[in-house]
Amino acid sequence: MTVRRLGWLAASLMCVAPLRAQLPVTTGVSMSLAEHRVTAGAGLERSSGTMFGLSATTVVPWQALEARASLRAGSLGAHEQSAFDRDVGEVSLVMSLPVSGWIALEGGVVVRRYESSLAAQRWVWGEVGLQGRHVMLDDALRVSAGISIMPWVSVSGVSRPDLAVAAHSALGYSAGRLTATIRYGLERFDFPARNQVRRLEELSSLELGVAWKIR
Amino acid sequence: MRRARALVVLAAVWALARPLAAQRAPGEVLTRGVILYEELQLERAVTLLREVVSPSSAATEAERAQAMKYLGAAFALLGQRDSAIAYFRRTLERDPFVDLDPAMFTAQERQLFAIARQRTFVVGVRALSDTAFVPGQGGVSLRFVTTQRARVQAIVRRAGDEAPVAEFRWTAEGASASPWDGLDQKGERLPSGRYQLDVTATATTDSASDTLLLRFEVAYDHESLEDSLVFDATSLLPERRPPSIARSRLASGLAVAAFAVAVPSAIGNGDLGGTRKHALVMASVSASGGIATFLFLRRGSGIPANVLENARRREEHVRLNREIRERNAARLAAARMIITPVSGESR
Repeated sequence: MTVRRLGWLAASLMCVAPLRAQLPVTTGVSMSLAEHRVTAGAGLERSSGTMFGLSATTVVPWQALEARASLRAGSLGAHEQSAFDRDVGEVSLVMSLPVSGWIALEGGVVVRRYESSLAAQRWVWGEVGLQGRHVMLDDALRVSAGISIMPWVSVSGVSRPDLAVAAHSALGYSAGRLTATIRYGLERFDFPARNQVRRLEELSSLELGVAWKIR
Repeated sequence: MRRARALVVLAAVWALARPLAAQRAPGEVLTRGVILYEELQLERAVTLLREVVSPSSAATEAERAQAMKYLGAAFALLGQRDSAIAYFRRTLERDPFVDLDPAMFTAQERQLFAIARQRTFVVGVRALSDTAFVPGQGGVSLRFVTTQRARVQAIVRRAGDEAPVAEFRWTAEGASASPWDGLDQKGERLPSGRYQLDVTATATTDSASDTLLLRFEVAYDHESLEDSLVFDATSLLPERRPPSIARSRLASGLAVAAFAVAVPSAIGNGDLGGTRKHALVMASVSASGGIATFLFLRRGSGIPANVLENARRREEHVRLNREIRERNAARLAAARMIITPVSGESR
C-alpha cells in the first residue's frame, strides 16, 4: 500500500515538476469578516469574527482552467451567552473553467471544521456553479458574481442538508503584479427536520484580499 | 503576220523587263556585285556596284558604304589607283569604322585604302550592342574611331538642352573606347531619357577637324523594384474608448451591486435574519467601481495597450518600407546603363 502511494506521489511530482516552471502563480493573503448563524431548536445562535487566509492560484494551459487553493482559519465569537465561541478552519480547492469571455463554470471541494469547547464538527462538500465575469477597465478592474449548489455535503453528526446553495460577488483591482480583491459570499444549508426540529445554517463573509503574481 | 506578232511580244517583254531590272532590291544587287568581285569579274561587278551607289538607288547608307568599299577594291585590282582611293575615301566618310580584312583583300587594295585613310579625316562613333554597364564602374558602351591621330572632345547634352551634362576629351588614333564612365559632371547617374553626343575631333597633324552628332536613349536595366507598402489605417486598433462603453461598465458595476444586495434575500434564509452588512459593503464597492469606471471612461480615455500596439505596427510599417527603399536603392545602384542610338549609328 505504501509502495503504491509512493508511486502515485512520484508520478504526480513528475507531472507537476515540468509544469511548475511554466505555470503562472499568484499567491495571496486575506482577511474575512464572517458571521455564522445557526438554529437547531435551541434558538438562533450567532457568532462572528475574523478569519485569515492564504491562497495560491494558477492557470493551467488546458482550456485556461484556473485552480485556486485556499486556507482560512479564525475564531468566531458567540453573540449569545448560551452559545459557545468556536474556531473555524477551512481548506478549499476550486476550479474555474471559462466557457466564454463572460461565463465560467466553477467546481470545487471544501473541507471545514468548527471546533468549540463543547464539540467539533467537520464539513465536507463539493460544489458546482456558474460565475459571470466582466472586465470593467482593461485588466485593472474586474467584477464577478456567481451562484453555486452543493450537491454533495457531509456534516459529521448531522444528516445531509436538503438545500445547500451559495452565492458570491467580487471586485478586483490590479496594478502590475498586485491585485486587491473584495469578495462577499453567503452559504446556506437547510437540513431536514429531525424530531420536528429543523436545522438551518448560514455563513456570510466579506473577504478582503491582496494577491501577488509571482510569475 | 506571225513575224509581226512575235516582234510585238518581244518588244513588250523587253519594255517590261527593263523596269523590273531597275526595281531589283539594292541588297540583292550589292550581293551580286560582291560575288562578281570575288569571282574577279570586276567590270561586271563595278556596273552593279555603281547601280547601288547611284543617287536614284534606294540603298541604305550601310549598303552604299559597302558598295563603295568594293568599288574601291575593284578599281584597285583594275589598276585604277585614283578611282580606288576616291571610293575608299567616300567609304570612310560614310563609315569611318570600315576596314579591309587582310583575309579577304589584297595588299594592293589595303595599301590604297591606307592612303585613302591618310587623306581623309573623319570621326565616328558607334554604340556597342548588348553592352550594358554599371555607370561609374566602366566606360560607356560607345566606341569611337578617328582615321588619324586626333584630339577628341565629346559633350553629352540632354535633348533640347544646351547645358552640357558631361564632357570629356582624349587623344585617339583609330578605334578607341570611350573614357566616359556614364556619370554626369556631379558624378551622378543620368536620368533615363534622350540625349545627344556632340563629338569634335581635330587631327594632330594638319588640324583638320570633323564633327558628328549622335542622338541616343539612356535606359537602365535592373531588377524589378518593389512597391512601398501602403499603410492600412483600418489595421489600427482603437486608441480611445468610445464614450458609450462607459454606460455599459456602469451597468455592470450596478448589476453586481444589485446582485450582492439581492443575495441575502434570495439566497439567505429569512428565518435566520442574516446580516446584510456584508452585502451592502460589497454592493457599495461594486457600485462605486462602476461609477468610477463610468466617470473615467466618459472622458474618452485612451487605451494604452492599443496605443503601444499601434505604435509598434506603425514602426513595423516604416521599417518594412525603409527596407524596401534600401533594396530598391541597391538594385538601382546596380542598374546597368543601356545606350541605344535613336537614329541608327551616327558617323
